[in-house]
Amino acid sequence: MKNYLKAEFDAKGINEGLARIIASGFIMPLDPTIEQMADVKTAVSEAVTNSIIHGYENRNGRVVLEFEIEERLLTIKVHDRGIGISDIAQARQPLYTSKPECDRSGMGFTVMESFMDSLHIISEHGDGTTVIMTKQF
Amino acid sequence: MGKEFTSTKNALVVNLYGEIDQYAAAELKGRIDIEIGASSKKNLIINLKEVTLMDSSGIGLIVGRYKTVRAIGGKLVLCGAIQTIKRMIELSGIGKVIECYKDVHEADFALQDTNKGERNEMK
Repeated sequence: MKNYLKAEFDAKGINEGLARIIASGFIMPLDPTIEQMADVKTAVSEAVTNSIIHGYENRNGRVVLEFEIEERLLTIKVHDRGIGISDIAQARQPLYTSKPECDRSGMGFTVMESFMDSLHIISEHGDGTTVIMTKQF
Repeated sequence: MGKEFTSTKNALVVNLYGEIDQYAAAELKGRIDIEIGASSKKNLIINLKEVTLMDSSGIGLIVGRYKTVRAIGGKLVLCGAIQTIKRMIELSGIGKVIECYKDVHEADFALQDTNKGERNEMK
């Protein structure tokens, strides 16, 4: 099976739920378990949150979501044109957060890494961030 | 959907619902802190029974309230988490410092020895 979906929306917190609904609808044909469904929705939630609060720092912007299924491999891309990440290795560290004052747990990338099979981050300071995650079903 | 805030003999209870993401957590944070400030109880039970999804923003929310409650000499405990939420709690490591019980009743029972649950006001 091969399928593709692209969605672009305003970088607003209210759209995080929408992103999860899109994700869950798209992976339905893969007949996911409750656990797999929660994994994908949570990982998408983390990536979109990062774009909104870190990438755009709650200012105006757009988040682009791309989903692709090839055979039973799901690939998810979450892209923003925000401030980017200057030190990806540091950002990936569990419990590291650039915003400790905001009750951030610093677990976003750790969650994506744990709940998906692979996580790839492409980012440069000032040039947006693209997160690519895969999961085999 | 029942009441967001209830109380037991030993604690204030916040009953969370649905999906806890950054958007929900940001709103909840203020409401919970106001309720903690207004309550005569110093302990807090976060009831996760009706929570269907929680991302790391929910962990941030819990850790933040843990600090708030500890600052007034109280204790925060969790209860009712379904399996997928438990995985998030374990992954984050907060399960090592914050106890998680089956339901509100068990959580309340566990809190009964913590200073009778009443706040000691400054004299």
